[in-house]
Amino acid sequence: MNWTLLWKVVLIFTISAYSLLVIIVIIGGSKNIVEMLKELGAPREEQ
Amino acid sequence: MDVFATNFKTIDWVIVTIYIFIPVIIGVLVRKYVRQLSDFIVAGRSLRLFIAIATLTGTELGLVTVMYNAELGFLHGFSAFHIGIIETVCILAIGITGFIVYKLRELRVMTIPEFYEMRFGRNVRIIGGILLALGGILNMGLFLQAGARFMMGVTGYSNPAGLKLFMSAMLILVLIYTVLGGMVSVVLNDFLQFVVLSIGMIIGSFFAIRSIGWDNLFTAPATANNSSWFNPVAEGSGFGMLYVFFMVVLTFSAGALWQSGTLRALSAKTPKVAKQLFAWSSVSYLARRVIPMLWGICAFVFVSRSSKLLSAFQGPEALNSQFGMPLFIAKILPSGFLGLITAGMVAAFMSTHDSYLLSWSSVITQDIIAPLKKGKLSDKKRLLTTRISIVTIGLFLLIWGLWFEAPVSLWNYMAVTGTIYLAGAFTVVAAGLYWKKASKTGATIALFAGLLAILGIGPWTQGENVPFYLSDKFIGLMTFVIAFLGMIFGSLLFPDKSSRQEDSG
Repeated sequence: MNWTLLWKVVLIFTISAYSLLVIIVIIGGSKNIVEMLKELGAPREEQ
Repeated sequence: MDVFATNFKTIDWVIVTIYIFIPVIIGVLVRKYVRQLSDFIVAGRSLRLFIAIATLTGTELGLVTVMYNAELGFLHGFSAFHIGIIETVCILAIGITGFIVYKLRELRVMTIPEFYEMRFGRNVRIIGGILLALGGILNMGLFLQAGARFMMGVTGYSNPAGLKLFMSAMLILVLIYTVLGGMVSVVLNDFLQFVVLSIGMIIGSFFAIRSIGWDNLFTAPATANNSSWFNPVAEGSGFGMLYVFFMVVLTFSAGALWQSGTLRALSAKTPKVAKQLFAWSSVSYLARRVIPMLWGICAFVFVSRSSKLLSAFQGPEALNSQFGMPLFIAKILPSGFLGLITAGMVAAFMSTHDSYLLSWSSVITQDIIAPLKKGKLSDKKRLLTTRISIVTIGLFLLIWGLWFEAPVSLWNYMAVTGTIYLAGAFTVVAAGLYWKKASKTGATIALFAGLLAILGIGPWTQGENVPFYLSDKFIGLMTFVIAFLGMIFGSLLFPDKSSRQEDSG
C-alpha cells in the first residue's frame, strides 16, 4: 500500500473540503443566528 | 536558534487582548434571552443546521484538540492520520443512519442520563450522572495545562510561573461568560470562533507547508523511522492493530454520545436537523484532526533540522512534546497573523471550555442533584446549582492541571478518561434504544464497568516496554468489551419485572 500517496490525497481533500464547508457555514450560519435570536426574544409562556 | 524565539510582538498582544473580551461582551448581551433552564442548557432547542454545524465544530475543535492532535503528528508523523479517517467514517455513519442521535432528539431529553431514567429508572440515572460527570471532568482536567503550554510556546514566555498565570486568567474569563449567558452565549461564541479559527487554520497550513516544502513534508526526517512515520500498523509506530480497534470503538461511541457534541444534536430544531448535523460535520471532524496533525508533523521536521531545537526535546530535561507545534508556529508565522491565530486558538480554548463546563454542570444539576431531591428543585434553583457547579469544576481544573501529567500523550489521556463514561454510556443507550431485553441490572453493570478505564491513566502505562495488557489501549478496549458483556449477561440473567411479565403474558 502506498501510504505517502494516501496521506497526500487525504491532506488535499481535507483542506479543500473544509474551505468549502467554512464558506457555506458562514453564509448559512449568519442567517440562522438572526432567526434564533428572533425566536428566543419572542414572547412565550414561562415554564 | 533560541528555543523560545518568537515572532509574537506587541501588535499580537493587542489583537489577542481585544479578541478575548468579545465572548464576555456577548455573554452579557445575550443574558436577556436566557429565561428558562432549556434556554440555558439547549438554547431553547432552536438550533438550525448551519449554526449547529458551526457550534458543533466550535466545541469539538478546541485549542486542546489542536494541541493533542499536533502532539500526535509531532510524535508519530503521518501514521497519526488514521485516527482522523476512522473518526470521519464513524461520524458520517452516524449522520447517514441517525444511529442514537435521531432517537434521542425525538425523545426531547436534555442530557444522556435523562434517557437512563426514562428507560431504566431514577437510580440508573443518578449512577450514570455521577460516572458521566467523573469521566467528563477528569477528561477536561488537562485542558488548562495544554492551553497554557500553547500560550507559553507562542509568546515565548518560558517562565514556569507563566503556566499558572495563563491558566488562571483564561479560566476566569470563561467562567464569567458561561455563567452569564449559558448555551445562547456559547452558540454565538462558537460561531465566532469557528469563523476565525477555521480561516486561520487554513491559511496557517499554507505557511506551515511553505516553510517545510511540499516534497520534504512527505519524506520522513532522519531522526524518525521511515516505515512507522507513514504506516500506523508498522512496528514502532506507537499504534498497531489494537490501537486501531480501540479508536474505532472510541470515536464511534464518542461521536454518538459525547455529552458536549450530543448536546448540539439535542439542541437541534428537529430530529432531522440533528441527523444532518452529523453528516455535514464529518468534514469538520476530519479537519480538526488532519490540520493540527499536519502542523505537528511540520513542527517535527522543522525541529529535526536544528540540533539546538532537537536537543531541547531530548534527554531527561526534555521539553514536553506538546510544545513542538506552538514553538514552530511562533517562528514561521508573521507577526500580526500570529496574533490572529493565537486569538483564534484562545477563542477555541474558551469555546471548548464553555461547552464542557456547561455540559458537566448541567449533568450534575439535572442528573444527580435534581433526581436526589425527587423533582423538588425549581427552575431558578436548578439554574443557580448549574452556575455554582461551573465555578466548582473550574477550581478543580486549576488544581488538577497544576500537578498531573499525562503518562503517554495528551490524546491517550483524553481517550482513556473519555472511556470511563463512554464504555458504559454507549452500551446502555444503544441497548436501551434498540434492545427490548436490556434491563436495569445490565445497565448498572455496564455503567460501573466504565470505571475500569481509570487503570489506563496509571503510571504503569508509561514507558517503552509496557506489556500489552498494561497498555492504555488494551485497558481502554477491554473496558468497552466488559461493559458490553455486562449489559448482555446482566440483562439476560436479571431481566426487569415488566419484561418478565410480558414474556409470561
